[in-house]
Amino acid sequence: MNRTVRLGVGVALLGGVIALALIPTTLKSVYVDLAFNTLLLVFLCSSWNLVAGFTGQLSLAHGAFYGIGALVTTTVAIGWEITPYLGMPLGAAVGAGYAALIGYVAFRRSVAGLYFAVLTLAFGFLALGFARQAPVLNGTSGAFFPVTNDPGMFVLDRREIYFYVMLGMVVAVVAFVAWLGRSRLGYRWKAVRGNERAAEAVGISPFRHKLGALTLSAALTALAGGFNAVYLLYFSPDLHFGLALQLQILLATLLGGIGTVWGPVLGAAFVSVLTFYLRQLPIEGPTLTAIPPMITAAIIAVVAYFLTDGIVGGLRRLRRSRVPVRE
Amino acid sequence: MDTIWRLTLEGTSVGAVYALLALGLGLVFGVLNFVNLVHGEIVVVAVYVTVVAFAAFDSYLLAGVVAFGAATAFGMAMYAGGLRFVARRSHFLQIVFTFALVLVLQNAYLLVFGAEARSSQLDRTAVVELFGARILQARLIAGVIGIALVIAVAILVARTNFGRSLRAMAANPFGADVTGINSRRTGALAFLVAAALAAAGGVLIAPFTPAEAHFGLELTMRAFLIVIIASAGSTGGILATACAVGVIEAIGVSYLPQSIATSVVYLAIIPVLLFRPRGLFARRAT
Repeated sequence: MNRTVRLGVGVALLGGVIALALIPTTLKSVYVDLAFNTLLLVFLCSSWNLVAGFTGQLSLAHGAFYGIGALVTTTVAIGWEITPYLGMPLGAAVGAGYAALIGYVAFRRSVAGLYFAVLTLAFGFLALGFARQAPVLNGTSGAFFPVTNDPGMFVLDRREIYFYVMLGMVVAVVAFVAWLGRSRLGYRWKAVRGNERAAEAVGISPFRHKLGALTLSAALTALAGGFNAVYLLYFSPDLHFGLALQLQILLATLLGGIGTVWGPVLGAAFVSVLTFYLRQLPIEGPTLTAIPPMITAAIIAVVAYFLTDGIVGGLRRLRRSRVPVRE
Repeated sequence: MDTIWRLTLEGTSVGAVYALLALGLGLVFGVLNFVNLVHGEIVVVAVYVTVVAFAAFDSYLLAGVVAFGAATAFGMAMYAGGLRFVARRSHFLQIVFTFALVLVLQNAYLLVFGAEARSSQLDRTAVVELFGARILQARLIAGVIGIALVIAVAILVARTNFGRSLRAMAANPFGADVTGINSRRTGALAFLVAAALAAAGGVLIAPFTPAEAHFGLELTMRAFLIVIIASAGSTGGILATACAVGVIEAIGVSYLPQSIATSVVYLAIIPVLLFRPRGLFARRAT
């Protein structure tokens, strides 16, 4: 890229962020909520992309990391009255710890791609099983924060502040991924994805790099989980640990283009808006609500089959059709 | 003591059914190199159909036969319609594709059968006494038939020509092709055997297990863990591990909260992967 193009891209990105920052003051609250959820999904996809895209380890435990963050933040906030400003980092640390445990078990003996996915799914179920018995729930299926304006507890009446925090988190993580793509560390992670033995032969430890990527990715995901619990003022194991979220992360990242900087962003935006409008469909009835998630899942199956390198990959192929696709 | 003995028997009967699933999963993974997360859904369909058919015919035998046929056909339809195309692609795609399919199916059950768990109206009073423990007759039947089927599969794989071609494909697909094995046909038959085992498992547990939409994936996970713990190559090992898992679960459920007890089994994977990563019953590395 020459200097002019780079400047243009920079200005466009800055303009985009400014436009996003104007959303809370200009749009109706339904759409602000949609924008918040979209940013949240972008954040989750970019975090998941760190381990799934860069190091090629298909983790299906990210739903659980997210839930752990939410659970820890809620527990310390409601049970011990510890402010979420501390609770959220604490949740991130616990999520990272859980990820480190999974990673240690799996990567120590270099558990192959398939077993790793199944193993992480099993650990996800394990975490969900314990979360359903969490003391903070008191035997119910969800726990509420006391709803009063209390800035010390991060419960704010000015809801737009949550939006700005989320926007900041997204900008930070996307910038980090963009930097990573060109950094030594990023190339090492990609080397591990490409060929573990070759990476090891040139002195890159697959164990340490996979473990590092998984832990970092889990910490970010758990942080987002804690933040979401504060945003909703509510925690529920079945909502926060849900497989549905894990599937959305998968779908959006694949759709956009796994292992790229902008793939998770584009994919998440598309999926979030699609889910929003599917929910608006005039479908009533207790069982008929199953239709929108069914459509989402069906789309992922088709997309996964035909578009292995996602929107970003497709765009790249359009631009220079000679260059071979990823791998 | 009597309670423990009864729970052991009950756990073994469920474990035998887990073994059927794990065998099928291991077979499909070994022969087709395919990670099949929808495997448990065949069981769920079998349970649902048994429940519905029993309400219609009022005969467990007839309902079981219908459900067995329907669920096997359902499995093969999935294979013919989508899975066999994915089977040749990367594990990554296989997992994503079958995971998505699981979610489509879970929501489809909600649409067709409703959100509430469906229990069969089978006779729950028929109990048998076995060395001092009274267990449901249906559980005894499930255990006995389950173990018999596992033995039958072991013989099929070890002693017949079909079994030899299965093992050849698992060991070296290219070599199998060269020696004149029709790999496409053998692969489809392997899947058929796996689907039939899962369908049989579903019919067997239907009398004492409510059909519920999320049940399938948890079963698949359980079966995968058993395959990982025991190692895919050992039929006896899979049966032993599956029964152990069933017993631990049965005892756990009666002393711990349900959601914790069913998860605790997953913990067993940690020491296995750390100390015997190839599985408890794996033969020496070749």
